[in-house]
Amino acid sequence: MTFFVLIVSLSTLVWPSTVIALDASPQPADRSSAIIQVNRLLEEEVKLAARPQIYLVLDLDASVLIIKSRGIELHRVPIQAWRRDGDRSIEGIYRLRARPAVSRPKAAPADDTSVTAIELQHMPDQYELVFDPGVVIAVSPLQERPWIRLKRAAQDWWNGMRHRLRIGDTDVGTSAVRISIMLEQEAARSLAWTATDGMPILIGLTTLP
Amino acid sequence: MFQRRMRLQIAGLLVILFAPIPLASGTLASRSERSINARAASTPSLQPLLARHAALKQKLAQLAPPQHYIVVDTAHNRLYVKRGKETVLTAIASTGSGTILEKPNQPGSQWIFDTPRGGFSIQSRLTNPVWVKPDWAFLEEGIQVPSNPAERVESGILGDYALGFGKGFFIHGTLYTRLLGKNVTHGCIRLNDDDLRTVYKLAKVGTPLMIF
Repeated sequence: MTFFVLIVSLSTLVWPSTVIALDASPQPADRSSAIIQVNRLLEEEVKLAARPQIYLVLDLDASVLIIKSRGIELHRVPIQAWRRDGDRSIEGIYRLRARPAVSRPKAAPADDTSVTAIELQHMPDQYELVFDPGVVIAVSPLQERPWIRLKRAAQDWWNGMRHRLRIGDTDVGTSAVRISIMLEQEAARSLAWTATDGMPILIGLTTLP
Repeated sequence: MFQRRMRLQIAGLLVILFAPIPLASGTLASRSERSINARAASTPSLQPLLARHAALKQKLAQLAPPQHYIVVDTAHNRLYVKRGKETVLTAIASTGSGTILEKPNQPGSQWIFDTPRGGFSIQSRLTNPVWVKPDWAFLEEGIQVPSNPAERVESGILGDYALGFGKGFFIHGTLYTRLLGKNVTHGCIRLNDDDLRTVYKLAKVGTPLMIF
C-alpha cells in the first residue's frame, strides 16, 4: 500500500514537469515562424537605420525597450513587468502619434532669466504613448507598496476597458492593442523625455529563439 | 498470486510514467540557443531563413558609423564619444532648458529652447568661435535688438572650439561650468574646456551625432 502511495506521489510530481518540458520543446514550425518574425523586424530596422533618426525597439519576450539609431543601441530600458490586452498580432512598425503633455515654463521678454528649466524630475512617470496604427503603450512606475500597485492595476484595467470601447466606436475594423509596461521611475521619466512626435517603434522578437 | 500481478501492473505503470523522462530532459537540455541553432541549421527548410538572418544582421551592422560618433543623452546631460561599442569619452554636458519665450509683437509666436533630438552630423568645426547673438538673447536681457549686425558679435563666450550640427546649434564651451549637468541652454550643447578639446580632436565634419 505504501508502495502504491509512493508511485502515485511520484507520478503526480513527474507528469506535470514532463508535460511542461514537452510543451517547451520548440517545434520546427515554431522555430521557422520565430525566425521569420525576427527577420521581418530586422528588415524594418534596416530601413529605419538607413536614415538619421532615433527609434525604439520593444521586445516583450526579452522584457526590454531599446533606444537605437543607425542600428546602434544608445540606451536600454529594462521592463519590470508587462501585460497586453488585445488579440491582434502586433509585430511590426508603428509611429508615435500622442505623448504626454509637458508644461513648459514661460519667460516674457525683458523678464529676468531665472525661469526654471524642465528637468527629468518634472517629467511624468505614468502616461500613455499612442502609436499608429492602433497600439497604446501605458507606462507606469515600479511601486514598492502593494496597495499602490493594486490601485494602478485596477486603474490600468479600467483605462484598458475604456480605451477598447472608445477605439471600437471610432475605428471600425481596427482593434487597438494596449500594452502596459512597468518601469523604474527614472526610466519611465526618461522615456517620456525621449519620446518625440512621429518617433518610430519596432515591436517584436529581436533575437533568435 | 494477486500480489505478484499487482506488482507487475505497478511495474508496468512505472515504465509508462518514467519513460518520457529521458525525452523530457533531452528536450530541456536542447533549449540553449546554440543547440537550437545547430539543430535549425541542420534542418534544410530553416537554412535559408538563418542565412537571411545573418545577411540582415550584417546589413544592419554596416549602417553603424565606422569611425567615432557622438551620442548625447539630454535627459541626463551626458555626451559620449564612441567608436564601435567602446566609449572613448564620457562628458557632463548642459543641454536645452525646454523653456518658452514669447516673440514680441507676434502673438502666438514663440521660441522653444530645446536641444533637437534625432540623428545629425557635424557640419562645421570652428576655433575661437564668436557668438552672433540672436534676437532672443537681447530680449531676455531686456535690451533693444541692435540694427547694426556688428553689435551682435560677442567673443570669449563659447570657449576655444565650436562644432556646428545645423540650424544654428553647436557643441561649444561655457563660462558657466557650475551649470554643467543641468538643462540650462537655449538648445546648444555645452561642455567644459577639456572635454570640448577632446571632442574637437576626435570629431570631423560628417561625424554622426545622435541626440536622444
